[in-house]
Amino acid sequence: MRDSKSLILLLLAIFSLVLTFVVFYYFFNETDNEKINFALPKAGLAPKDSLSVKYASLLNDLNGVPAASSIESDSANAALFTQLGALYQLKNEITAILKNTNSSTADLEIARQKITELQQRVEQLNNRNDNIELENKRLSALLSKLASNFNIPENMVSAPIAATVTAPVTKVNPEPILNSNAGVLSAYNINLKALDAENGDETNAAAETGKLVGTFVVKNNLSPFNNTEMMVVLVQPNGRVLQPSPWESGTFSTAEGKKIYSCKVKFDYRKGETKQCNFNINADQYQKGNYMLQLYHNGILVGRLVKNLG
Amino acid sequence: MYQQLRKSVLFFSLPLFWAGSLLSQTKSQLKYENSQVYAGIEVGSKGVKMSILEIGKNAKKTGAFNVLKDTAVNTDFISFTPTSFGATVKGFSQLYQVAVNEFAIPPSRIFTMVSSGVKMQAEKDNRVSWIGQLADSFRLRIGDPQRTVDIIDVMGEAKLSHLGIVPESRRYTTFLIDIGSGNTKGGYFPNGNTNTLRLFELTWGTKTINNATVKRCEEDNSITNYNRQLTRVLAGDPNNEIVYAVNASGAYEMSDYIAISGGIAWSVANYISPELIENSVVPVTYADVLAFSERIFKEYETLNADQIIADIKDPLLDKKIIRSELKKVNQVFDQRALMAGTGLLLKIMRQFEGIYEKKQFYLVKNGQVGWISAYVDQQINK
Repeated sequence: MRDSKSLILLLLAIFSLVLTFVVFYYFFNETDNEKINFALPKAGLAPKDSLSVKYASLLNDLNGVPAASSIESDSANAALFTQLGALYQLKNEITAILKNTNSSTADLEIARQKITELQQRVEQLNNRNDNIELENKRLSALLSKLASNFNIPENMVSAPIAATVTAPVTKVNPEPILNSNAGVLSAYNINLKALDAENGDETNAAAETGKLVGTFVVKNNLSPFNNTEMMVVLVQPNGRVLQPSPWESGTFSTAEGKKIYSCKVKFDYRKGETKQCNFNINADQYQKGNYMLQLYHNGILVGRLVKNLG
Repeated sequence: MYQQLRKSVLFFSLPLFWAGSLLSQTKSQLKYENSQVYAGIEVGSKGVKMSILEIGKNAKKTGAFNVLKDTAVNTDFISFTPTSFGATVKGFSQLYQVAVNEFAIPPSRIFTMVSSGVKMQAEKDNRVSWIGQLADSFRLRIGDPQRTVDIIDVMGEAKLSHLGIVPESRRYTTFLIDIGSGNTKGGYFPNGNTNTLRLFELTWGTKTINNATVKRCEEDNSITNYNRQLTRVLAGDPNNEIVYAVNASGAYEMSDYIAISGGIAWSVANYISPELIENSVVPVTYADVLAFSERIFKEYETLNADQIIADIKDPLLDKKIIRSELKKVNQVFDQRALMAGTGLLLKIMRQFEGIYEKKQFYLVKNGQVGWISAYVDQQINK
């Protein structure tokens, strides 16, 4: 009796298993068929079918494009977001026309035009993506090259300079930009003081400042530099370079193009010497905020400092 | 009849347009804190010129002044005819009224004078009394019998130019050279004071070099031939004169800075450093000017405002001002005039480009009004 009950249970279990297998097999087989029918239409296509093929291939291209909703809608991405929104709207319109079994010839013509437009937009996006990738590669190579020139660790290279610009406090002596390049001097111990216009004491108030006095030390163990020039660039809080007098300011060339300097320090340098350099900047007035001091030698940034005047 | 009238109008209006283009460096806004606005009206050989300047409290130290308005009326006073006399009196008094009424400058801050060129020509033509009559007629017209109309001599003008353009800190180390259209003049203070100015003079200017080159070109008007003939002209008399005049002046030993003013300096400065368009002075090297001179000859088409602006990367620069200034330069100097002027500029600079000792060169953009700022400074400190 007990054996017969067990046998019935075993048969029921086997039956359930077979049934489940059949149901799953049927379900998956049907989905695959649908996919194949959409992607691979039969030969001797009607106009609507040929459009479907074109559309299907476009959808494949679209796979690489992120969904509009996945792009952060900050100001930098606004243009891309708008483009993607338009692209997905176009896609939905075409799908609606192609799915409609009662579509007229005119509808199909509209669909054809829309598919062409979609194709162009996808190509534009792909081109743009390629350009961005190329530019990224170029910038990465440039940063690596600069890092190796200045002996900066990779993690420091990727840190945005803007973060230091907006620092609210005076940052004296940041990490020196050391370099092993024989063609340029390294600058360190960089200091920038604001002196009171009336008594010459140090101040941090823009309204009281009469002049800015800067000092820095230069060194290079590989080369001497005769009659060389260190360009001092003082970027004001408004982003413009401070030019105390047209007789002291000018332009110089860098890898990024021409830059304006506030003043320049001329000197002769003996190989291995530790040389202290000074400069003064006398402006009519000083703005409140962060001043970014940059030192360039032979067109390369060799030192920088942020000074805040309140 | 109509065509003749049109030609006459064109004939008389073109010089005015050219003078206006060359001289006008109008800026409408005040630039400095605690500044004062002054006007200088000068009767020169070609006509009457008015400059309205903003002079800051540090102008003497930094050489900074701002040209608010620079305009001229061509009256050809030195032809000493009743017509030119009448036109000069009219232009003189009208510009005075513009300064008083349109710019609201009080008469105490308007300075009126007659230039050295007029005085020299009047002496040559025995017409010195005309200058006195001009001053009297002007006083009568403006209704101010006490108005001073100074007559400046060559030395005075050269001194004032130096004092007005070069900042105090570089007064005794700067050799100032003004390249004009018909001649070149300048000088420096050799003794560490402003009592004595050592004058420097050449009989060549941008236009005389251009004329001599055009004359040599004969029937071949190609730019290649112009360049070839220009090289020959510059290597001849101008070079001999420049070498002699620079050596005789002793300026090489006594100067660290060479400042060059005049129309050609203004145009080259704007082309080489458009980023410094708002600066009155632009530092350059001999190599910069040499490269620019080759560019004028070989790639003149690249010297247009659009192309130059496209090369500027700094987004904070005012490209509108740069475009307008470059267009002005384009109007004043064509390719040949630019080649002639730059050629002369290079010949002069070459004399100061030593192998061991290099001088710092500056191109001064507002040299023509520099002396007025010094004159104003002298008058208010009297």
